[in-house]
Amino acid sequence: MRSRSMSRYYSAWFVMPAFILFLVFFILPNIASFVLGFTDWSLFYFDDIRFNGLDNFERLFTEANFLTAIKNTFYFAILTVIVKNVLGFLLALLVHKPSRYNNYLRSVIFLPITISSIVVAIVFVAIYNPSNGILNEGLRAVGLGGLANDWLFDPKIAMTSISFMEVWQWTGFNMCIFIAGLQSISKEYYEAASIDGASKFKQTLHITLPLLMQSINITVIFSIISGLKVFAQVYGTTNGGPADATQVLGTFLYKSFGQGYLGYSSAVGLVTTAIIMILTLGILAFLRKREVEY
Amino acid sequence: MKKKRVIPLIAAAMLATLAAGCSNSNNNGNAASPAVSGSASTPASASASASAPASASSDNAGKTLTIMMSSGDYGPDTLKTTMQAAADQLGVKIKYDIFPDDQMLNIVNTKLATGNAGDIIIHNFGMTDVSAKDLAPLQGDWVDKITETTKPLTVNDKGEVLKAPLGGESNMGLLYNKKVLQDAGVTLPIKNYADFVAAAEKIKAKGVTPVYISNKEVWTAQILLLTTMTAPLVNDESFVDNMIANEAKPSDNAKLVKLFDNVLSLKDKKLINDDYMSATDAMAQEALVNGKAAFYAQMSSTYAALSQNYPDKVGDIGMTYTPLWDDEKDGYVLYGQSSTYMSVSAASDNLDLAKQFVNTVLSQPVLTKYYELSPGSAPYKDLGYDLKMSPFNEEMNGYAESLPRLADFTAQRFGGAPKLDPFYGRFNEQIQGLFAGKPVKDTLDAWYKAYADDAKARRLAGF
Repeated sequence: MRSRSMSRYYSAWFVMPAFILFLVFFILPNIASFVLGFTDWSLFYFDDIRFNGLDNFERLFTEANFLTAIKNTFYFAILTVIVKNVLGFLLALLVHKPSRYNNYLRSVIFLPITISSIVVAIVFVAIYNPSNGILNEGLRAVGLGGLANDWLFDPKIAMTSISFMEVWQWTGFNMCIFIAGLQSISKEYYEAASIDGASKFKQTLHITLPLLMQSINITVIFSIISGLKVFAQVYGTTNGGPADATQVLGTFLYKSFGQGYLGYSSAVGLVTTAIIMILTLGILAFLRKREVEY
Repeated sequence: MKKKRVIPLIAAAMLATLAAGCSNSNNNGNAASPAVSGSASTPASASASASAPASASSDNAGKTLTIMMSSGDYGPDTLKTTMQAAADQLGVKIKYDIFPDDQMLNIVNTKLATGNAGDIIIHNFGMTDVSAKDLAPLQGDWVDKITETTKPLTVNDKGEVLKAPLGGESNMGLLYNKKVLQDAGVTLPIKNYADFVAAAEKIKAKGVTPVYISNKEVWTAQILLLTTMTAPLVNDESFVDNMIANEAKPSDNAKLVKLFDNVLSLKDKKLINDDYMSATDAMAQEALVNGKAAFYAQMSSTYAALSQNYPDKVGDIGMTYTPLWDDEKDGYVLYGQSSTYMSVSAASDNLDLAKQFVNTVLSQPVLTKYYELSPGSAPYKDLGYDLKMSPFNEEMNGYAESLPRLADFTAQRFGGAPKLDPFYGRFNEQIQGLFAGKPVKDTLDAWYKAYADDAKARRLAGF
């Protein structure tokens, strides 16, 4: 016979292990990080933490490199979201019909995802090398030597070069989501539209895109999140240089932590998390309103 | 009934496992610590040197010392061979924890602060960078023999030695290709910036890159300025004191600004390599030994790497000072402190053995072996035996007969104290920006801001 209290808390006992792990590894560290953001904790005074009010946040918002990091992070996120999704959608349209060649093409386009981002970065450092990288060598070989550039260390184009790495690696993922979405659209819609005389372009615009909105939402949100938390691509290529021209929020946080400013790094982490959360939730709410069902 | 007993037992076992996973591995130097790469356990030789007590070997048999070092130091065989020689003498095993160069300081400080560091740390950190209170004071015959140049970097404010110098007192300056200079009709020494530019133009006319910059690895590009900017700072009587008190900035020093302009002008005059932003140290060394570049700013310790990688061509390479100053009175030869040190973690479970190991490394047979592999100017005086010096050090010694050494400045102004070291610590971040197009004033101000942020974190007066 079970006691009443055992019966009342029966379901809570099942939740308890997961809750304890969540509490220990997520909630408590985040609360600690929030509190530490208002201290001068550093490796220089590891055992002597002092509250310093809003000093860390004041320093953060007057730091030119932090503004550069925000600008670069958004540039990377926006550019990669647009290109990955447009390119992913076009590729999905090209290869979504089952055939032997399409299956092969899908695998080739998807394959880069299986490689670690840091490995991709190392490979692209070689590709982008201004002296003997295959990009510049290829341009020179076809008489376009004038376009050869120092792709990673010219501050004007470095961020775009890094963004292209992300596009190369992750477009295949978006393509797969779009293919799944395309295959779930009933052919009857297209047959009806053809009978009504709608062109292929109009069918894409008025049938494919609206019915693909759920897939688009998923890829856009995934792309935004991965764009805003960019780190390995920058760390593995330029490490934020030259002259902080490619500093992003991830490398900025890493750098401040690496210099031993633990309280300040907590403040950076707090602000970074807040920016990403507000932006992601806002966009998610906006996109959800545009989902349709026929 | 049985179930009631089993469930608490399982729960207890899970908690114990979790606790074990979370606890620090402070037993015997991080047996379970996550070395990033290159963890290697090396068996000791049974033979013990005559200079080591016979009992030491048997007492220590089976013990393992953990050595933390950066991937850059681990790469060449020099240190590994030296450490192994000492391990053989003591009859101990050694295990390496290797960390990426750019993360080494942070990891060492974190591990020291949490009592989780290896027994011995090989590094070149300044006393203000490393967590000095977590290092053990060292004793040995060698302590009183450390040169006046290196000594200030090894002691804490109580005068205890926390860093045992191992590497040679490094010269910094310009490596040069003798044949290239001869072909271009350039003779050394060059006295000032105007003469240097004239020489560089002659070299350029021969189709050779006059000055090679490897700006991808900022630590090398900064040497151009590290070897020249102490004089403008120190020759202005109160400038350094004011800078330390947050009452003056580097950009207030006109001579320093001009020196930076001079360095930057090498780019504007196209006297450096085209790929200066993405070039690496290895590319620079290759260009230098193959006669594609004439000058390259580096440390004298590069001699070991050049000897290993280009044994047939290392003889073509020489070393001179960096004459980028306008006024010859600002000239000096950078004869720096020891480039590599050993420290012992105060929390080491093998504290006495680790200290004994350091003393063994600094004994005649092992130290001689190290300097055979990496010749340099030893940071010790009156050792009673000679250590091999590299030709780069010998050449720089010759220049130092007519120009002051860096140590002369610091001895004269600060009683030998390394007052400027914290400034230089944050300098390398700025040099890449300078060559990428950041104006000189912005570069200097960014440098000072980085120093000021650091000074504030260290709770220094005035910040």
